[in-house]
Amino acid sequence: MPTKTEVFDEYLKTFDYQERKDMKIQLPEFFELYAKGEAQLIDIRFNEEYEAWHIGFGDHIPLNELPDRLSEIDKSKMIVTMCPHYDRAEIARLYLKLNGFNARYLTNGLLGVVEYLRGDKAKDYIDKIKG
Amino acid sequence: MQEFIKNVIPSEMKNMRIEIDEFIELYNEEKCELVDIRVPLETKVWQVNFGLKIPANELPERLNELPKDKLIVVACPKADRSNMARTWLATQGYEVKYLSGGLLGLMDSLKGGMAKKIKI
Repeated sequence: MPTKTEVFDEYLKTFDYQERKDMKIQLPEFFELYAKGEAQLIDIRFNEEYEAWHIGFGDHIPLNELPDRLSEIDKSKMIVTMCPHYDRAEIARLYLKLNGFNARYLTNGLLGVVEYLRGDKAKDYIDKIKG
Repeated sequence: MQEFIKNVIPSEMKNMRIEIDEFIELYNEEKCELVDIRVPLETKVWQVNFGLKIPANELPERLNELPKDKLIVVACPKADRSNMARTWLATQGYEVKYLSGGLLGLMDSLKGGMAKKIKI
């Protein structure tokens, strides 16, 4: 078994143009996959941030609790990590990736989601995912 | 990495990244080194005329090029790849931050007469 550091070294050394694309997902593609039940969305903000406000779908696992809560993550789905912008989401994505998950970070972040899902768009999307 | 993730707490967040103004200040005082981690094809299109150019995937082989006595500031166009490289360098024991705002932000803040702000 390679050590965690070796896994990270290897990942970095093989980081190429394809991986640069594969590390992230844009909103339209995410919305589609999530509606089809093929993606798990994880808000990785701190508890205090989540308490202050959160969106009405997806899961919440604070970044620093991820190592102890990997069992809550569905290996069969694409994992999409999310924070207000994308800096912490990228750390979470990297951690999950190095632990064998198929993970991407949401480029537009939570702020992008709420900006996008306004008015009718919010109604349509929530209707769609609640079936 | 496991320990690293668990230690990401609110008060630590600002230690991960450096804002452009603070970076320029530290760079001018020779207290930090910039590392542009973009891939060669990107650096061919446009170059930053200061700091080091080490593509992210070459970092493991080229660690010896990094100064040990300065803060390392990694940068990519925005902040995703630099954040990844920062995490890796942090696991290697470096004092390292990623440039908040990225190279695009840095170029934007070095417009016109502002370019004189950085000592090359």
